[in-house]
Amino acid sequence: MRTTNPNAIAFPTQRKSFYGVTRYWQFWSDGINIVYDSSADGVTWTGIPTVVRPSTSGRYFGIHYDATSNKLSYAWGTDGGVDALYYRRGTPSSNGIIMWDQAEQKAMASATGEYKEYPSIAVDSYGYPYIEYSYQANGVYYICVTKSSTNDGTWTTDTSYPVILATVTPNCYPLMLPLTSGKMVAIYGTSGAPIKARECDGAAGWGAEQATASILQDKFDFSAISVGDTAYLVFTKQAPYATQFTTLTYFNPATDTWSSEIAVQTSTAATVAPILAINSETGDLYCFWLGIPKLNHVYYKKYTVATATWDTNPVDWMTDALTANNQINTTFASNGGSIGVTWLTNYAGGGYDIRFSIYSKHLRTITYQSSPIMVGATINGVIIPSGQSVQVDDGSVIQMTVPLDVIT
Amino acid sequence: MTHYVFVGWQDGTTTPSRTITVTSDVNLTALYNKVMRGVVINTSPIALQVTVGGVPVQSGQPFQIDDGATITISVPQEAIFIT
Repeated sequence: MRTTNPNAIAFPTQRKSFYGVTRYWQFWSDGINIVYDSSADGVTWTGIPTVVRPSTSGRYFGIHYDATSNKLSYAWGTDGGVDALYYRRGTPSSNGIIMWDQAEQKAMASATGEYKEYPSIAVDSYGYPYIEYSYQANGVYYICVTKSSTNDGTWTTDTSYPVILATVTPNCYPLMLPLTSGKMVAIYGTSGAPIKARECDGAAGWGAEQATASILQDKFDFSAISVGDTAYLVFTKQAPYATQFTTLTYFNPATDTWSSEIAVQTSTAATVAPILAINSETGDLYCFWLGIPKLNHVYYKKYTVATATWDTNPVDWMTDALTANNQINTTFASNGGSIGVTWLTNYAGGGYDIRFSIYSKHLRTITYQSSPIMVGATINGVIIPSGQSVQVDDGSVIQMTVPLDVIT
Repeated sequence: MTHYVFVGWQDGTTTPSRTITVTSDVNLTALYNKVMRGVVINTSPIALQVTVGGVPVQSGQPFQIDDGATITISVPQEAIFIT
């Protein structure tokens, strides 16, 4: 998968991939259009991306996938100043094609000088789509939500919407999540301020603004998912930089507050944009990030729900020639225990390659080295050099051999 | 040429081939030692100083070199003892 846009899969506030109907699906901006491709195993892709609509950047759209109904929705809006906000819903098929339920719908009309940016879309438990977006008019920034009163792929703006959640300067990145029974939560963050959230009961309106204890470093350096009525949030806080974790559970929108923060990872950097995914089998959360402590390394930590604890040490999962530490995305949830993780690398011919890798809880890493000389080992008949790692299925029995004598 | 021989794994296993049931991430390190050979050079009927690779060595004194190494030994062509 290739692109000319350095933000093709940006940012963690907007999802770009999911697993559904036996396939992994990846959306991105190729620099001209939104396109998608799919793969049955996450390794072999069709190589023929399908064009969805024009979009010169990945920042202009977010997707939402509901596995229960097998419906994929996207919202698109730009900082171009003259564009409307658009919505479309479709049905992914196991053959790799998305059948769109309707023509693309205009969720908000265009108006000269108005910006409707960085949309985050989520669908409530009854199938009604909400779009949270950054709105700028006459130099004033707002964070807004709009909702459709229809749930059939058409868009008719609900009579109570759009709603201005807050006036924020400078602009915010939004992140919309569904809760249960039609309830929703809208999260928004701007650089140099706490992340805020407001909950919606799905009927009467929006609750009080709730702020995190720590201050967000950059407006796109946060990610969240929801399970039941709880939103789980990770973000990069201001110096001393760290990845913070906190939760917001819906009880009373007027008084709910973020939980005490936990430092998932300390000594990070301003450029790190962590992203959360959930293992659907176990309910455990995974926080992925790039480039810290080692440049060009991909890391993760696991949050074990049963004990409410994060791993002490990060897993140094992959190495790659990363373009930036905030160019990362993941699937909403896992396929079984497998989570799709996406990042960008430079393409020698110009532009960027989109890398898609699958984390599987079923895989274990064997790291081999020899001392004081570099001697290869064979693992199940395959030679690996000293200093390299291989992954094998959890519980597998391996035969590992090193040479008895070495002549150098 | 240098000869190394496997002496064990860092976790105490001593065989170069092993079977592992993988239930967690593992780090494995194979440890090697350089193989050395003992050399003693004697001169007879008297003990002389010789050179090995240019380094003086006393006759009858053992020293070690890398297994497989090529060495150059020089002994004096003549020795005069004044009694």
